[in-house]
Amino acid sequence: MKPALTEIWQAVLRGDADAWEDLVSEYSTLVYSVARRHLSDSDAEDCAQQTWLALYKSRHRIKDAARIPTWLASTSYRRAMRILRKKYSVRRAEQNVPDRAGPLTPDEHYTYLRRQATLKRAVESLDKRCRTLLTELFFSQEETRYKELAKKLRIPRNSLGPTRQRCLKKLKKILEEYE
Amino acid sequence: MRNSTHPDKIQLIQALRTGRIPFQDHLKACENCRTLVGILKWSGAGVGPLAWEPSEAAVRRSKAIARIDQSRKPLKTLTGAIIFDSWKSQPALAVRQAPFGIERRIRFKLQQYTMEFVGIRQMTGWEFVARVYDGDAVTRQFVLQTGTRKLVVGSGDCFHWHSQQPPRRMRLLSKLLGIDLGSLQW
Ligand SMILES: [Zn+2]
Repeated sequence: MKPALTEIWQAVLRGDADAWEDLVSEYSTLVYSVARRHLSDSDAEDCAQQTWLALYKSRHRIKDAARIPTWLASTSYRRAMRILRKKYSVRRAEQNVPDRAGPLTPDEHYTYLRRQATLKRAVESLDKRCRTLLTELFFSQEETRYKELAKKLRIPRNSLGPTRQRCLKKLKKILEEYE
Repeated sequence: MRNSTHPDKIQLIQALRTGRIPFQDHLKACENCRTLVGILKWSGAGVGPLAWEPSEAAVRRSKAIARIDQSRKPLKTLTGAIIFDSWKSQPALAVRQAPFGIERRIRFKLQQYTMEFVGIRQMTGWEFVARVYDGDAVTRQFVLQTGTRKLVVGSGDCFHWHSQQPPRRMRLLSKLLGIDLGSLQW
């Protein structure tokens, strides 16, 4: 089992460089994604590195490990905005959201990323039939055809609807337990 | 999923994204789709792309922060010895004049620590690889300093770097120990 964030953070504060690496592994996607939503990949990498340096420098001021993910997300966001402001105007910075999606606070970003990881874990914990069906449903980039999916699951096409319903119910129950 | 009655996933996500839901009546009547919409909404499917993976090199740089910081002041510094040098048997001058493809292997040692070092001269400069062992096991605890550059262990638990000039001095640094690897003639 992975050590809890509190344990990792205590070790970081004791000067354990391996624990710092574990922390980076755990949250590098979050830090980078918050920046990448607004910046090019090379700017987002710079922004992420600045964020990690900032955390390292202020590590002794952060006593509550539970705050770290949101600290990272908001620091990465603020730095991303600063980088954008240097390059363009503020307005452009705020408009520079991919896919014309609505604005997203760093907290929301973190929450959704965490929920997506939870969703993935929940789907993986289901029986094989539900796992296959829901993986197609939630994580496949393309739309799956009923006929192909029924073939994959080895069930008649007309029982796909009820199977999907059964699997979604199971999934919903697990997600409620996780939350 | 696509059939004649339920909206497919892409239509649902599109609806969440734009806030325009053209199949309200269907949702009212279909628990199946309501559950699906609920989970999609909960997981942020409507807010656009959320997850990007940073490159391995970027993650490595961030991981290196603590180790590089701790390597600034090792508690003590000792000097290592060269116990093998493939250039010992070759006249150095002739080697220096060779255009490229020339290789030099060196083994450094101090107490239980060994560093295997390989330098290869390329058309574009020198490529270096080094790996440190604590006894028989590879160790990642050191930072390698060559000139003003500090390197951390990368893929394959090795230090990799490229330089126009071969290093004259190298040092291995950790929180506890600095190992001066002596000076090299090229
Ligand atoms: Zn439906």
